[in-house]
Amino acid sequence: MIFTLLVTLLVEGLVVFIYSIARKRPAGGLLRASFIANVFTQVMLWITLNLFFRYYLTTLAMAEVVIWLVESVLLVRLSNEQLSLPRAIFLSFCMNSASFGIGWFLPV
Amino acid sequence: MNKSKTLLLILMLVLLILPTHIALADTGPKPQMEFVFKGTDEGELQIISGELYECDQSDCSDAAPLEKLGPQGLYCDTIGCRATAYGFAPYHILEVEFSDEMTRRSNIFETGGFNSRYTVTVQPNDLLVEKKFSLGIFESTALFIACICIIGIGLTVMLVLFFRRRSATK
Repeated sequence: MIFTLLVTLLVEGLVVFIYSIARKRPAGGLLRASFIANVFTQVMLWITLNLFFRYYLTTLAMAEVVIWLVESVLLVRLSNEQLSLPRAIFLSFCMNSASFGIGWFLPV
Repeated sequence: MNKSKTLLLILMLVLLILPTHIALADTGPKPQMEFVFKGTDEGELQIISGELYECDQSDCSDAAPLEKLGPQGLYCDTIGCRATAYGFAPYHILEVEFSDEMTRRSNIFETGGFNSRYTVTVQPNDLLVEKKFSLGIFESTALFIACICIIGIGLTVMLVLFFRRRSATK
């Protein structure tokens, strides 16, 4: 579990890191915020998927949209308002698209 | 301890109490099935290949092989099989070819849960697939309790932060 969670955190952390470099902003606060947001949303995703396992793809699609929005808000809040909401929505979209794309092909 | 550290600590604690078999990637975990064979571990009979049939009908009149699609598929080694899918149908049939050149077909069995474990008894002409013991309905209850606990912890943290912030502003 720790290994696969690390993969997710690494992928999304890398996206945050690239974003911070591109925007010439310190990455520390955003990385910490994305870490906390991710752990929170992953726990929720796991519980949701286990509860509605018969409707895996539907549940996953709906959960990913919720995760994207929740992570956007958490990124704003937990990074001490380092990001505006529109930028957080954009960053969260990039993070989740990257990890979704990679995770789709993971045999776990 | 600041807000982020408190949240981080709580989340790590929650992760620690979750079952160890879960795999977290951002799209997943994906539903899985594990088939533990009785009789193949002594080496008398080895698995050559396997096929998992998916059915929507309870009599499996619409059986179709589980499509190989990225990580989705049935994977067998010489002693057991494991299936991963982007969602399973409600009913299944397992068909396995063994080293005695016989292909045996199983009874119809149901999806047991998100991660299901089955015992497969190799019989002279067929296979008997039985769901391994689980907590059944209590698994959902445990999940529900876990949900309530997480929500409770979240609310407590929010309340603590709210009162702290309010007392700091006074």
